[in-house]
Amino acid sequence: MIPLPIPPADPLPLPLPPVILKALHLLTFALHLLAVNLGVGGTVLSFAHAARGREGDRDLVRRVAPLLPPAVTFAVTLGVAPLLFIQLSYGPFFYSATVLSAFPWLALVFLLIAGYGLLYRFVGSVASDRFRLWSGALASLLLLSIALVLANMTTLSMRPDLWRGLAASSPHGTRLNLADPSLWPRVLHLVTGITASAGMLLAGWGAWKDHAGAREAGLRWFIGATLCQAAWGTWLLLRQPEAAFRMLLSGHAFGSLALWFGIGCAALALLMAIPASLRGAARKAVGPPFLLAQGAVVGMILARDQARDATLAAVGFDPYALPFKTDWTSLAVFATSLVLLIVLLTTLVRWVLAPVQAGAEARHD
Amino acid sequence: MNYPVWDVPFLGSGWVVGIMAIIHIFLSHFAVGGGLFLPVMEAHARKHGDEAMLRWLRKHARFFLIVTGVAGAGTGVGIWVVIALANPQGVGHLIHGFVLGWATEWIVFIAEMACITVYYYGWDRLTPERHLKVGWLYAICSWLTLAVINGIITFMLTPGKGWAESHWMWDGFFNPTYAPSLIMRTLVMWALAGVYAFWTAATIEDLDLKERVLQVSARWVLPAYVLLPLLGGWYFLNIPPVSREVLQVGMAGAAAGNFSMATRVTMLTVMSTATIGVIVYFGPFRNARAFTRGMAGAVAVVALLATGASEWAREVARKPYVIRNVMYSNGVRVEQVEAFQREGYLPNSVWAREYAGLKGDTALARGEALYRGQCVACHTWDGYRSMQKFMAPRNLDSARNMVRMLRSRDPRENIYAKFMPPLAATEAEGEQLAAYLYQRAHPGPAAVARK
Repeated sequence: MIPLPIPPADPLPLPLPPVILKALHLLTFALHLLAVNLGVGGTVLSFAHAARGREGDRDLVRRVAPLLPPAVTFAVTLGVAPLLFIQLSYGPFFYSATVLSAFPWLALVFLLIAGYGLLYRFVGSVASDRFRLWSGALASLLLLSIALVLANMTTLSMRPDLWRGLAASSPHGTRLNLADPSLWPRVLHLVTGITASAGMLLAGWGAWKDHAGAREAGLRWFIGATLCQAAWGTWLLLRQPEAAFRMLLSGHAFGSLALWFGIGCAALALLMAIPASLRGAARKAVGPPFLLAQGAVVGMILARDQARDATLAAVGFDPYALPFKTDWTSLAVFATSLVLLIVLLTTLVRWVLAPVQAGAEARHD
Repeated sequence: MNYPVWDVPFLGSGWVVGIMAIIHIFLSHFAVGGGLFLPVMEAHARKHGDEAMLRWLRKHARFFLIVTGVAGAGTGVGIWVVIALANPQGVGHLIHGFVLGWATEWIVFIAEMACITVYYYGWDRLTPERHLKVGWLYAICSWLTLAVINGIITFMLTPGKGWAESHWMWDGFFNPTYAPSLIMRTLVMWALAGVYAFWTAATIEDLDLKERVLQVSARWVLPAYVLLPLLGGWYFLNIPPVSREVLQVGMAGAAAGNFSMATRVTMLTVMSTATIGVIVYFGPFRNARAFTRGMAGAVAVVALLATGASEWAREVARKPYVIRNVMYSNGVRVEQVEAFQREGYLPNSVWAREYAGLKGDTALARGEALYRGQCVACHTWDGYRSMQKFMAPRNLDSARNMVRMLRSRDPRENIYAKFMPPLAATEAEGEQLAAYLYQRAHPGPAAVARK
């Protein structure tokens, strides 16, 4: 049997133990996903409500839309760290996959810039009576299509058995990884997951701001998208590579427990969201499904990570076995900057949330 | 070649990186320079109670937020994408050595984004004192992003003496060109802050305000003109002697009418920078009221040219390495050359074997795999640095001689040794490469007859 063309890892040792890198990877990915759900999912929801055109919907869009560009800014910024950590821990798989499907991967940049620019255009118009719906539609479409780019890279990086075929059929890296049966269910899972999460975030915002319309609309989005997720999620599970499939259904592996924890959280959130979405439901009723939905996202992030490790273990790769030599000085600099960032963000949030006082010269210090 | 190769026809992967990098640098330098511009101008306007300037500054902040947030951050991601496509070995090596530096850069970048978001969206919400403080915090954070990334960029040209042994991040970070590069870039960023301000100020209808804003903005360009030549000299003295030699040979050749690419790029940098100086003096500084958006656009285009040319010159100075003395631009590490020349490139390169196998593992297929692995990083077949053009006038013996020469690392034997990585392959593999290049440049049965 011809061995799979998996490149060797870089000869330099990792500067941190692999388990810490994994923790940082998952933590930063969760933060990135939160911002994506808010920014990209929020764009889709805002466009849909703007297109419906009722005054209540438009009022909702006017209040929510200004949050979207900063959310996309943070989605981009927060996405850099997991991109960095994945290159460190899974470099041979990540780089091979991106080069073999280079042009679709490069398209990410242009989709992002165009979608983000159009989002600004759409948001800039919502204060007026003439919403730029085409901008909103295109921004939604372009930002959502990044899901295809990312799913393509993720699936390809886990399937070195498909690399040879892709290299032969596409020497310039112009093709998607269409040979992988998990590509399309993964895309759908991602898109509806973003929509469901955005719906729940909208409901949470509505509960916080006591905006009944936002609360009800957000929960309805969550319910609809989560019901779709049941179908896409099952499809995606069935299309997983064999090693990942067996691990996820084992019932005892960590990834399996994470998956069932996520599914359980999502199911419970769904059950609780239905009564909470009814007119006249209490504001507080949003709290439990909101927390459960976040639990579902965490469960899915962990299950996804374990599915990758199980798939790559089948081809002999173990990210925990990579050599490392801890660089304590650099770690201390990083940790110090992290503490300073937390102090800065806390201060900024405190300043922003401070009551606006009459007269620009009011002193808070 | 442990990774697949991104073969971009005509343009070459290097130019894709170059285009993305130049646009990103032009935008990100504005993000840093503009970061200082905003609070300085706000403080000035508040001190003098200049409400009109404050209103313009708010518009300028929106322009700044969109340009740096959308295009700046987007091309920042773009840089990550394209450098990893063009040179996965190099990026992987850099990330292993500097991941905590990049992680720190990421932290500062989040702080920067948080500050500019609060600065713009908090214009009415924050008190003037706090708003200005947020502006200063943004200025500090954005400069720190430069201070961190500068360590990694300059490391690639001048890794310093200790890093090769210790592989400790800080041995490479504070390298000989760190300080001059940091100061030079800071000045360029201030200049670009002024250049970008011309764009939004050019359409101010209140002519008094327009004059005030443009004249102040023009002063932001000035320090760069006074100090850059001195700093450029300092930087030049700290780059490796071989790189200095490349640029000096180019300059000496210009006197005899022989313009090397390095000379042309250096001249382009000098001329475009001088042009900006002239336009800025006679435009926004002396004739601010008549200054138009078209003129502002022209200044921006020339500034982009200057940025692009100087970054290109820096890249040329690094040749033939991607990390000087550590890794060549085709991803072969310096210490691997000897082993590859002794044992062979294909047996040591996963994807070179793979590419050869895809074409039947013939001698020509192996030659092609070698071409892909060691040449395509800098050459295209029929576009930029065309191999077709280079090979067309050669016969097979000439091709063989050239390839034999390329195996040497001694500049006396290999005239390309200062710019090109040595061919890291056995003599037999070199023959296969020569045959492939010759065959491809002279397709058809005639090729056999000509040899």
